[in-house]
Amino acid sequence: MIETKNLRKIYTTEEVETTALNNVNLRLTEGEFVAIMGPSGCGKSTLLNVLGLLDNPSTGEYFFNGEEVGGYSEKQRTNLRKSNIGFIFQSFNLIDELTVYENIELPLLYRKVSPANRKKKVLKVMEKLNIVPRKNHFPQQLSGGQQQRVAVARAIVTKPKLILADEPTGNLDSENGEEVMDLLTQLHEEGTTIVMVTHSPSNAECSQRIINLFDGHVITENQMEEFQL
Amino acid sequence: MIRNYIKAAIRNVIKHKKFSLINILGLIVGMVCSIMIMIFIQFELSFDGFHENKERIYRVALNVSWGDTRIEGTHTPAILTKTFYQSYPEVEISLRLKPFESGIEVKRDEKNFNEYRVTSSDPEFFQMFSFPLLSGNAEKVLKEPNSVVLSSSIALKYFGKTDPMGQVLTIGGIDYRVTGVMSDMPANSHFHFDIIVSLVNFDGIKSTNWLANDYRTYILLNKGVSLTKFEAKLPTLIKRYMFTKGNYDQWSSTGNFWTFYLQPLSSIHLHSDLSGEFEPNGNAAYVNMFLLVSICILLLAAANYMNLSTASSGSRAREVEVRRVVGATRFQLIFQFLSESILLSFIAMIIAVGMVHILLPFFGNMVQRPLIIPYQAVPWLIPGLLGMAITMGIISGAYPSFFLSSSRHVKQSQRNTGRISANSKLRNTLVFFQFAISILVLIGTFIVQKQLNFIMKKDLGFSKDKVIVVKTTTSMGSQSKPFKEALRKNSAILEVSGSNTLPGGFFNNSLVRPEGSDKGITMDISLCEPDFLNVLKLKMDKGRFFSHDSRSDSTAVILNQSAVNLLGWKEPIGRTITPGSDIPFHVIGVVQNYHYKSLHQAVRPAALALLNGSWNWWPEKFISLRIQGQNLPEIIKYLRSTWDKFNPGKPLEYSFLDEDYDSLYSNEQQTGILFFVFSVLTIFITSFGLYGLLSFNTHTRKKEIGIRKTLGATNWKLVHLFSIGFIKLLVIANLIAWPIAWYVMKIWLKNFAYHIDLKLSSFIFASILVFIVSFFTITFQTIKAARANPIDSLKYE
Repeated sequence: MIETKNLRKIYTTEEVETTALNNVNLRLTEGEFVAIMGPSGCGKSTLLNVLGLLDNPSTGEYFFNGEEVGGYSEKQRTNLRKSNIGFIFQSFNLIDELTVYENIELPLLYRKVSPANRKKKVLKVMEKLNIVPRKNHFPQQLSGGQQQRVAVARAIVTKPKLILADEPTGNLDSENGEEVMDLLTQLHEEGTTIVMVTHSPSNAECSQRIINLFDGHVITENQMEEFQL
Repeated sequence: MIRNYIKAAIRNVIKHKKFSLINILGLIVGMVCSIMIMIFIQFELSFDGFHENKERIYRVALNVSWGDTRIEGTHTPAILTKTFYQSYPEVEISLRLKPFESGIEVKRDEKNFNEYRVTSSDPEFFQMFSFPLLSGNAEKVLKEPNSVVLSSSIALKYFGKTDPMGQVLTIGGIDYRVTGVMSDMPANSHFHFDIIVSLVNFDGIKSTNWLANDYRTYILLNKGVSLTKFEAKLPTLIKRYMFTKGNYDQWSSTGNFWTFYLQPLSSIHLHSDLSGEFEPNGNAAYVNMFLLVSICILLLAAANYMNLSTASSGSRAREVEVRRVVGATRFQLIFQFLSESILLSFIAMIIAVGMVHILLPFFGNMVQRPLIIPYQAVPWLIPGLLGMAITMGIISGAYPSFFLSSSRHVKQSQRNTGRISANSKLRNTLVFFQFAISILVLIGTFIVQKQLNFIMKKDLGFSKDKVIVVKTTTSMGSQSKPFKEALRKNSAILEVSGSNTLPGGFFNNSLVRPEGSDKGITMDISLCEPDFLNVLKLKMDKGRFFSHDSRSDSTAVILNQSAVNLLGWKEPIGRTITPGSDIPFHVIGVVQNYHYKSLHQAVRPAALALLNGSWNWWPEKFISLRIQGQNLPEIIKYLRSTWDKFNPGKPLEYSFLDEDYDSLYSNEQQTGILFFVFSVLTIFITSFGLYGLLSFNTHTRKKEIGIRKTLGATNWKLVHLFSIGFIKLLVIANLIAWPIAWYVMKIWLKNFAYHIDLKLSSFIFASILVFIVSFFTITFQTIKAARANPIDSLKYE
């Protein structure tokens, strides 16, 4: 489903050039659950942004479903992203001015889904995640766990093929964190491809494969021992 | 989708109340000012536009240069109309009007008033002009001698609810039959009459004297007539009909000219300022200036919005990124933020329109126009206002929308560099622009006020204070002298004099021939009594004023310095001037120039002759009293009782010379008030915007403030940190604003023959004021932020 070849991402400011990703080669098959791990600043979120078509690589190739998308324009990336990818963030990233219902509805609005269909899909997902009683609440009125459930609902309402989760339990206590991991596991069992960035070894165990990053490189298990990781 | 945007927009507005309020308030102020100014401009531009034949109606004006005499006026001879009908088929109607400019007494039964909006007219008045007749036939109402048409207000005043048609009204001692009633003339007409009497039986209309310019002439050209071709014929009219005995070519070869020219009806109000205007006209220059000011204020308000929105963009960065992530295209984001600014603009417009309803009467008073919101006159008003709201929303929101939706900006905010440098250049430009406008408007305000003070306080060569003017519309005849003597018995009344005119009023000018010359020169003539010198405190330069005891003063004349200079007489006393083909008048004195007309013009050549002397062309129209003491009510009471004794049943009308004279400067006073109001608003909008910007600056740099305070920075150090950028902008703004202000005010001051010199003090003062207000705003906001406990901002590090 996803393949990267010699992927590099370099950030340039007036004084400094930072290589966030350095010759990353990856292959993910459809239906996989992959965890990406590594120390802070190793490029995990950058990799997720590139995989999620939120950013373009500086050099290298990125194939999504067989198509080379590394050089896509913003419009092309947006179209591809909204049809295929859902996102879950560590800090939930709900819009404070919208209710739970409206937050979940938002991706469907951008896909120009009819009002009747939107209502159907949103309610179905809310029932699945058991947040119907909160539908008219604002994010500030919810607990962390509830907010993340809303974020998950927003991510899956369009039935994406790929879910990218960036530290999904990072801001949650253990109980809520477990709940979120259960949801991801369930989604995976239903056939969704999941790429999850995490610091937590126990979360990583839910995945089928772990990719380790260090200073922008993907490193092998031997290299992990060498770098004492 | 739109509903989602509107919901988010409204909730955003509520969430950021302070900034939303500042934004909306700025927009409201800008819109209220602009709408009111547009209403004023629309009113000014609408003058005389209601006449069906407006495209073909012209007023005939006169332009003369004869030796040293210059005439630019609206007075024309009666014979011009006859000439047009006889020899110019292009003219469908030629209409003469002769108003009773000093008023006339109107009586019916026990009702007796002086009316000032009275004119006589040729019968075609209602065929030329579109003043609706409520009763009577347009072709017939003024056809018969002694017929009169009344306005509905005047009809009500004299006839109450009785039908006035066919009834008799006595006007100036003559009975007229009411043959028509018309609607009151609308405010946007360049003349206003309540009573129109037929000219049919007037002797004056038969005059063949081309120099007897006693009438105003309006013509209606036939359809399809070329104005240029017709106007080209007018010079030959003079040669053919006026110079029947003289040699026109020889006369004009020395640089003389005598020209009739045409003024389109619709251009009179804003573009005509000739001698003999019916009423003070507007001024196109002022209209343009107000339009410019209103655009400046709108742009200021838009600049505020742009600045505040981009400054606050950091707080929306996360929302923008989330929306992008879940599928929003850049276009959709731009559309969302534009919708927000348009929504805010709509809210501001609704409130602004409400405020205009409340404030318009006050504004109308300020500009001395009866302004109303022209819902009917301007059918596109509401769409226009909606369009204005949308345009303001787009202008204000365009840059913030593009900026906020840019992924480059969002990434920068994500990395949380603390300063959004990408938009600070625009913000600085906008703040600079606001400073420059504020300084410009303030400089204008100070200079206008200075010029106004100058002309109000300039030595006019006479004293207008403490002078009561009694209007004697109908001559008092033999009662005049005993009336004045009775007035003099009151110790509070120092001097009393009759005259046919007074400074600030209308002056007849006459062609006079100086002794030893065939060439005439035009002089403004005043007829007065010996005490006129002391009533107005005129100063003599040579010779003496008129005397009660001198019989020969009946053929005496007093010249002013401008007349003597023009004549080139070193020793004028004893020399003579001859008016018309009349007897010569000998000069007994020279009075120092006094500004009997406004300071817009230099003092023209003028002469004074004795009222009821041999120069008896005009009757007494005013009795002026110089008073002393503070007890004005008592003096008026005495005046009234004395008047009633000598003029039973006649209404007393009086005014104060200083008020009458100062009304010559109504345009300038208007401008002064408006500039003052606009400068207040400009400072208000600019400081408001600065306050909002600083609120954001201090908010986003809260952490920095906390760190600096922990490291030992004092409050004043922090004020310096936040203010230095703005102060640099202020200095640059001065460099741009000063030359522009200098240039513009220099041009404006050229409207006055007597004006102040432009001095640096107004410029410096304006800049200091803007500096003080800005510095106060910056200091207030910065110290408020600086007082916060640094622990609060550093807590989550």
